[in-house]
Amino acid sequence: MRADTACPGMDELLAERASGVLPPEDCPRLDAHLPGCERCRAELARYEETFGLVREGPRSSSLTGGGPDLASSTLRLWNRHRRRRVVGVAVGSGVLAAAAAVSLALAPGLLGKSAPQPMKEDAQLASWEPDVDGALEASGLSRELDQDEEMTTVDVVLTAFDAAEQRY
Amino acid sequence: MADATDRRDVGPGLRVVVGEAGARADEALVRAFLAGDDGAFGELVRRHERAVLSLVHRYARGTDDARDLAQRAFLKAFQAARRSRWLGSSGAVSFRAWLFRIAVNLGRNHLRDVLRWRRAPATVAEQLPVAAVGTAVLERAERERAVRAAVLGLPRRQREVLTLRVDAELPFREIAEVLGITELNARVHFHHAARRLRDVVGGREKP
Repeated sequence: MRADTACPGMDELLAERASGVLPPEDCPRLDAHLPGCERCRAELARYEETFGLVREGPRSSSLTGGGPDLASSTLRLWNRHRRRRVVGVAVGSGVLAAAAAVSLALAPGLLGKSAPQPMKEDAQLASWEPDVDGALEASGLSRELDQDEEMTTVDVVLTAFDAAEQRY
Repeated sequence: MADATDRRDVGPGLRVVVGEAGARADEALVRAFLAGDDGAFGELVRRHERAVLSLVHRYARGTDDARDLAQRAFLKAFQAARRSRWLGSSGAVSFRAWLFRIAVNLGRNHLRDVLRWRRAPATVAEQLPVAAVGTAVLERAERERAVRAAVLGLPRRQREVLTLRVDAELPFREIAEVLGITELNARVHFHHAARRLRDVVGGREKP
């Protein structure tokens, strides 16, 4: 034990006493010990100095005294947030309602587009095959190909898609 | 545990009894405010503003910063109460404990942001007017700066327990409630922090 530290079992009591939170049941023990122990008195003084420094800085009086009243300014903020919430909810509800109305108005058209259309020429479509050669001639792809190059499967498929688009 | 913090002044002409009766009064005020009584809001803020300001000032860069943090703590506490996260659950912590928990978290996050942006909290010496600076004042300011730095350098739990004890003047029972730890645990953290700070003040340890 260092020469300038408290007696065993006293250090915690000294710190709690200095911070102002020593339980009443521990007070008699400490009060009985302190008068006869200079070391513990010195340690108590060190703790008191420490907590005094910890509490320093702008005092709570300057924190609560200066500037506008914290309660009033906080209440103003609260009311502003509340108004924003109300406006936000109203705007959100309006947007949702408008979106619902637009959806209902467009629904028949949207459904009409996505619904299967009656086949125009069933017999012709059933026998239809992509006109690859014709499409190749019409597309830029055939013009870009050199004589030596061969058509790949990808080229054929892409060309067939082009042909299908031109037909419909 | 009955101690000096059971009764204390919280503003001019206002003495508040905290503890069980105070907790009930807080809850009644919160309910009254949520029912539309703005006066209850003011009373609640005035009742706890000193403790909250002292608590968050530890992490703030100045008075304005501290007031901003305190406002946010109150707003968050009331928002939580409005959403029934506090009032709705039986056996929940007191409004005061809830409020202080929010304040501690806000302060901790604020400190983290300050450190992230490499802006050290304003030191005591920086806040002193030049004319008032003398040798003794400077020495005192330097010690305060060292202690302040030491407090911020404590492990998180020790720092939270210490500030709740010293700044908010809460008894260990309430500190345990705020932090969600046992009372014994709170005392152990407090003693570790107190010893470390004592050694800093005594020059045995660098902050």
